[in-house]
Amino acid sequence: MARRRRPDHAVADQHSGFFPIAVERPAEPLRATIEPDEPNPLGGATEADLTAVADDLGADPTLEAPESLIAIQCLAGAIAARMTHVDWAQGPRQLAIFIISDRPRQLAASLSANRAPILDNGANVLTGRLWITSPNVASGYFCILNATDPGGMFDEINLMGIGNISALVFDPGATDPEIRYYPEGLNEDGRVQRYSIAESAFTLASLDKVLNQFHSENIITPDAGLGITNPWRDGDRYIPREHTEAFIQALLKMVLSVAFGRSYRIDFERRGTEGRCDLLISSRHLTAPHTWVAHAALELKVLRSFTSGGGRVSSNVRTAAVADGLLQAIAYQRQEAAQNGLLCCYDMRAPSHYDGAVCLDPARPRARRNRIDLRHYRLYGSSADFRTAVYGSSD
Amino acid sequence: MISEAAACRWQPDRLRLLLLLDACEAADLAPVPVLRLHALAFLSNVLSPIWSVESYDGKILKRRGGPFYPELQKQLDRLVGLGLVAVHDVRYVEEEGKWRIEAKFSLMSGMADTIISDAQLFMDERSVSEFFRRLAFSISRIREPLEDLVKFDATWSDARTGVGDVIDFAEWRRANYSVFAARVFENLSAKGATIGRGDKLHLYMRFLERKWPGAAVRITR
Repeated sequence: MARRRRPDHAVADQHSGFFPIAVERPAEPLRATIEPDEPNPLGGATEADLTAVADDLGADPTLEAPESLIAIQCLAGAIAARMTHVDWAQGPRQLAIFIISDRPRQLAASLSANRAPILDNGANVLTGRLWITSPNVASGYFCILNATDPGGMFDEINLMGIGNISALVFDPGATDPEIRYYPEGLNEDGRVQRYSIAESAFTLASLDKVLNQFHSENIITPDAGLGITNPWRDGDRYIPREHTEAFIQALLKMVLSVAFGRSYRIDFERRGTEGRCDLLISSRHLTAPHTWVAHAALELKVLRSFTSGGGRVSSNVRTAAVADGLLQAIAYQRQEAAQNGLLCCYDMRAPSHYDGAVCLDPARPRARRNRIDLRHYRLYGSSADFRTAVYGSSD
Repeated sequence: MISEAAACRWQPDRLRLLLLLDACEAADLAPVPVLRLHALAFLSNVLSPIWSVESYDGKILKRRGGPFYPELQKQLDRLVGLGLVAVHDVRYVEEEGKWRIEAKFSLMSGMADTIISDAQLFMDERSVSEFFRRLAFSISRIREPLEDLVKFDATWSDARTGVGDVIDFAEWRRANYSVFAARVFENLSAKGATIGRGDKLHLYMRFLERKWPGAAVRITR
C-alpha cells in the first residue's frame, strides 16, 4: 500500500514554523496523471460544470500563503460579510479579538468557550468577544469578555494564559477599517502589522493607501516583516531573498485581496499577447454579465545592489530594470484596457548606491506621456539604516 | 505504549492518518465522522498531484456508500488503541440492511502532537502536511457533507467503473480524472488568469458542491 519512502537523514531543513510563500505558478505533476489517448479525460465531470465554477476564481484565500496570512484573508472576508449585515450598526463597538490556533477545538475546550459552527456568513456578532478560530475562520468558539476597553481586554486575555498565541484584532470604531496582526500574541503588543480591509471602492488614492501601508507596515525593514514578510536574506549586507519580486508580488496579491475584498479580483501573472501582467485589479461590470472592468495593471520591479547569491548588480542593470518595467507597464495597461497603469519600484539598494527616486527620472517623461504612474518604495536592510535615513546618523 | 507510538513515525499508514487528523484539527473539522475521514483520504489521494505530492494509494474499491479504505480503518483503530486518536459519539447505523459502527475521530493531544511535530522536520512529511491542511481548509469552506460530495468526484463518478469494481487511477493505470478536471480550470478561467494550486483546490471543491442537488454556493461575490 505504501508508495513512498524518504531518506531518514533529510531532517531539520529550514523549518521556521511558517511555510515559505510559494510563487503561484501551476505545480507540475510528479508524473503524468492521464493516458495521452484517454477518450474521456474528464471522467464523471463535464466541461459545463467546470465552466460554471471557474468564474469564482479569486473569491477564496490564497492557500499558498503561511497560515497566519490565510487567517488574515479569511477574517477580512468574515468582517466584510458582517459589516454588510443589517445588525452591524447595533452590535457592540468593542474590539473583536481572534486567537488563531491550529488546535482551536482543544484550546476552546480549555477555556469553556461556546461553539459557533458558522463564523464567516455575517450572521454572528463578532465584536466584544474573544474568538478562538483556525486559520480558515469558517467556524470558531467565543468567550464574552468582562472588559470593554482595549487595554482591559488585552489584560484579560493575557490572564487567561493565551496572550502568547498569535492574534488578530479588529476595532469597529476605527476610522479606517483594518486588521491588526500580533504574530507573537497580545503579550507582545508592540509587534504588530496592520492590514487595511473593506476599501469600499477602487480609486487610485485607495490603491496608494494600501500600497503605502504595505510598504510601511510589512517590508520597510526586516523588523517590520516580523519574520513572515521579510524580503531580505541578509539585510545587513543588503542581500535580498531568492525570487524577491515574486515574493513581493505574492504578498501584494494577498494584501490587495484583503483590502478590496470580494467585489474585486486580484489576478496574478495574467497572461496576454504582450507578456504577463504582474498584478491586475478588476471587478465585475455592473451590467454586462461575465465582463470585468480592469481598474489597474501593476508592474513590479526590484532595484538591488546584490543578487540573492551575493553577486554584484551593476547600475546599468538597475537602469534597464526601470526602463523595461515602464515598457511592461505601458504594454499591460493597454493589453488589459486598465484604467490605471503603475510601475512600482521596490528599492533594495545598499546605502552606497542609493540616490532616492532619482533613478526613476529618465523614465518620467515617457511615463507621463503614457499615463503610467511611477511609485518608489525604499526598503532598508536594517532598522538602524532606516533610523539613520529618517533622523540622521548618531555622529 | 511510548515505544509503539515511536514506531508509528516509521509506519507510513499511521503517520499519514495522523497528518490527516492534524489537518482536520487545524481546519476545525474534528471530531471527523468516519466516512468523512475516508472521503478526505480519497480526495487527498486523487488531488495530491496538484500539490506535487504523490498519491499514497492509487486505487480504491468503488462502494455504493462512497470511499472506504479497510486498511486505513484498521490502522485508525490501532491508533485508538495506542492512545493517539480519540473516539467520539460511537453508535450503530443501518446501511442497506447491514449494521455498521459510526463514530467520530480526533487527535489526542500530547503524544500525537509530538509525533506530528517530529514528522514535520522531514521535507516530504512537511509537504504532505501542508497539502493536507490546505485541502482541509478548502473543504471547510463548503457547506455540504464531504462524504456526500465526494461521490461527484470526477474519478469516483466516472461511469466506466461500476460499483464493486476497482478504480485504478494511479496504480497500474493513469486515469486520475480529478486532477485533469482541476487543470481544466486553467483554460476556463477569465482570459489569461494564472491559476495557482490553491485556486485549483478551491475551485474543485466548488465544483463538487455545485454537483450536489440543491446545494447553495456558500460564498458568492
